[in-house]
Amino acid sequence: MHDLILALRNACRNRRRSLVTVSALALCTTGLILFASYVMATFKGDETRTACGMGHLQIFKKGFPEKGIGSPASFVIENDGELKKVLREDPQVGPLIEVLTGQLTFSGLANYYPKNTSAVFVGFGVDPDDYAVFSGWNPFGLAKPDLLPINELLYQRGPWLDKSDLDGGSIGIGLAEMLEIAPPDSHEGSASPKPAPAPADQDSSQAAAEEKADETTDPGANDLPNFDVLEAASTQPNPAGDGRPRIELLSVPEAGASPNIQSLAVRAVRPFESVELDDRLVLMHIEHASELLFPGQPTKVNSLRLLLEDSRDVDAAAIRIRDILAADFPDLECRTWIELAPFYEQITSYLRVIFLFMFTIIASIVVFTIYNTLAASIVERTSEIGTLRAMGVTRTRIASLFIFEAVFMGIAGGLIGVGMALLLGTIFNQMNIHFNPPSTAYFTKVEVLVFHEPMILVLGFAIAVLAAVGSSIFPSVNASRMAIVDALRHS
Amino acid sequence: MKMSEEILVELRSVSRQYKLGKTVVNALEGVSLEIVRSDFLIVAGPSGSGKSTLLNLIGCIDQPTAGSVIFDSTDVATLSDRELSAFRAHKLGFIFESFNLVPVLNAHENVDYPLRLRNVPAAERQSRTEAMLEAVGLQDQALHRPGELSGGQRQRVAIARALVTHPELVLADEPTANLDTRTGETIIDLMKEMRDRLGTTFVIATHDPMVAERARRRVEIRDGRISNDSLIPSPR
Repeated sequence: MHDLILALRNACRNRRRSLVTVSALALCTTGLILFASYVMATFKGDETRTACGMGHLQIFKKGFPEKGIGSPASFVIENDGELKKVLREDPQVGPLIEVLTGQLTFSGLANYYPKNTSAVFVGFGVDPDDYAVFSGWNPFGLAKPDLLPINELLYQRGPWLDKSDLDGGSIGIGLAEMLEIAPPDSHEGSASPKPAPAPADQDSSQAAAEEKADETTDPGANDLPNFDVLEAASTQPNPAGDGRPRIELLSVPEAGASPNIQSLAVRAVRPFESVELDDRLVLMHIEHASELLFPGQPTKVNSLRLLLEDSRDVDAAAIRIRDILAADFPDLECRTWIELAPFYEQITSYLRVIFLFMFTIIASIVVFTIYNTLAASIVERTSEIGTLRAMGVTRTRIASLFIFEAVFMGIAGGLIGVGMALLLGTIFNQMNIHFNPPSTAYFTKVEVLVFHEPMILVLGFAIAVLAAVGSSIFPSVNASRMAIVDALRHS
Repeated sequence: MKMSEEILVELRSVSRQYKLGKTVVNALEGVSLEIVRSDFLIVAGPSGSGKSTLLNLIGCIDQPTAGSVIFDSTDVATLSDRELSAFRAHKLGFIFESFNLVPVLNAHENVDYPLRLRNVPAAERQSRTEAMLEAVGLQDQALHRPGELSGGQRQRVAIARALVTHPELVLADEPTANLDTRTGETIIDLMKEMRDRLGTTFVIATHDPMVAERARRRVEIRDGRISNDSLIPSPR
């Protein structure tokens, strides 16, 4: 205890030097925490977007991801109801499930007769209520893109589907561009549709849109949809009687089968998770999609999607589901969202490398700073070290005096760093900085998860203390090994 | 030296060489010396004669290159570094020319520190520290840090620190060098008083004639060898 007090007093002895050291430590800790919080926000954001789009786990017939979209009938899960029941009642998997829903994925040709345009589309037939739960899944409290003011022009607020609106659906902005379709300017199902600007205001609206685009941190946001088309399209007259444009969807259930056609009322035009999806996606009621592919037959699905309450349960759930499938549904397989979205691993690996690089630089600064401070302190106190050793203080105790000093500076720097990270992180989040991520059709808020991930704060603090201790060991041991006579002679 | 007097430290043909680059300096050459308990011994000689080297060897903070140092029947060369630390903490006290107090500790804490090294219980530490500060006349400056004390007061604290553990031997290297004559006399008188009260052995390296006048025994060193070892019949 006395050694701790002595070390604390010694740490305060040269106040200016200690202050500089603690400040450097605090800044490094702050930088580390903020960057880690940003990386974490990126991980969680990608995880949220991916889980919202495809669920945590998917079950389908073997080969479905590769061939299923062009031949949906070949991959229909015949006993999906039974499988759902088994999964829900399973004591290991059942409690983990937030939503278990079927989806019908297919492709076809979309036509918009008023403009005589057509485009290849990918159709997602989903249950509207389940889809709403998927879309709203946000366990990390991140800013949802559809609620960002910067995306106001891109999004008409949902719901994108409605249980009672069987033939209503949403399409991607890219697809709407290709079809030259007007987004509906008003609809009773839209919570807050963007009001159509008067023709006289068209120029100013475009200017406003361009201005918004210019506010982004990424001036070369080439992945964003064409604002001009959106604005112009919203002024066009609606060709259908219910105020919504209608497109005709043509699709074949499998190769060689005759094509079927269904009409879809476009209730919303919106960006989807990626530019590729945005250029092709038609989101529609599953019953409507099934009627398009399998007219007059009960509703069919070609994949089951599970959204779990907690992402950390994915691997455990996958193992159990694979056991169930192997025993009773051998033609089906289960894949996790990471297996289905390899880009997530690529992004996380990339960010981890950058983080490691940053960490190495910051840790080097900390180590150098503490080493430098202690080395200077030891030179100043060489005679004192000799005196203490002559009085009978052991080498270990001499070394520990300097290490305790480093611990105090590490604790002070770490605590101040954590405080500064919380403050700056809050300010940063309030600044509402946005950017358009690569291959994404909308703006994303740049966030730092300083409050949501306390472990980052703990680790940031621990790293500050450990780096301080680590860098103090060499000079401290050297100090303890000085020849007493030489140390006493030092002036 | 009387035969009946008990020998505390014995140096047997001790030599100490230092290497300065390619040059070997013989700081001490074949020195043999016996120090009896409760002695008040002055080591005198010009600068560079080997006084401090002799004190360092007696104080177990340096090792001879030849010969042996026997302290209280223990050959100090056989002790490990940890054992030597404990040995010094229990048997030795040091007084330095520049006082060498710990600047972040106040007078009371500086005197208390050696007792902590010996794991003396808190209550006993408190009473012994207070008594020692009173003995050196610094009871009113107990809470002053070294920077707030005069040179004489600092050296008094150093004496109190050296004596508080009741060591068998106190080594003082030029204890009056940084003090004015009057303060120096007071300090030496204080050390003699402590020797008389506690029976502590003092070995003082100095070239201050005032200190030499007060010694019971005077050892003179020249060029690393003892040139004279004599008892002073009636020291001041």
